[in-house]
Amino acid sequence: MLSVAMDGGGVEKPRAFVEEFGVTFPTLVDASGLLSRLYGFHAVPNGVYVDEAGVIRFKLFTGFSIERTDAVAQLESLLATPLGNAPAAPAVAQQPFEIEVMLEQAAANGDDPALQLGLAEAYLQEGDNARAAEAFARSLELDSASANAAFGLGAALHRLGRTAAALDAWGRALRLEPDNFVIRKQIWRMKYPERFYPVIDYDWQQAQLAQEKAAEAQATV
Amino acid sequence: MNVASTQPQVGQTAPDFTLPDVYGTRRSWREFRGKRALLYMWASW
Repeated sequence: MLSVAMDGGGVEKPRAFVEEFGVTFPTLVDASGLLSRLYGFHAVPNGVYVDEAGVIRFKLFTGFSIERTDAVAQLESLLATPLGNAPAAPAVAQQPFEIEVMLEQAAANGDDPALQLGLAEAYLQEGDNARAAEAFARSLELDSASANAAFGLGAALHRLGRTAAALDAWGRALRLEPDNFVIRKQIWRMKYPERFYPVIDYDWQQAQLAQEKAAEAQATV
Repeated sequence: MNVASTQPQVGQTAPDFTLPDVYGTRRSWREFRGKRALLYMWASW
């Protein structure tokens, strides 16, 4: 079991969850929406089950939960199948992110938004938020329709303490992908923290969504 | 986020990725190679 929190606001909030509930499996933090891009989702919670050969055998996006008895039954039946001729598990290698290699590639292809995005994500993971912000901004310059670049830029700016600029970038990401709830909820989390702590106010979220959708529909008329 | 056409489907190999854990240690999907694994994506909001 590997859990990934799609939290653009930093590691503190997911870490509090992990510690409060005594979670025993690794929990990673995806601040820039890397998995949204890899898997093409716009909301959570999501579940992907992979067999011993690394092949996806089950996928449920948006609404995956242990309370979904149909999903649990499917997973149980997959787990009950005998192990195949799975490749031997290799030694766990903590491969360093090769920023130098990415830098060379990005420099050689200065107009490739995907390379800039990869570089930006690497910087963000290294904790070099200033360079991450620069690379996300460059990627967004090269591909102004990339919600991922705008969202990542917001995450980097947020970590630099530039909250207003972060909200601007996330707002731009949301305008590019109005149906992306990872983005919309991240903005809410920043703007309306009282709606998320000590309890998450789902009624408020529904009302807020309806209000924002109406305003967005007006704006596009 | 704009890659709906290329998103991995059932029957395809799960893509590799590396991300920091909540304590900042970099972890990789590769660590699960050869094992059955459930990848759970959520958010604290």
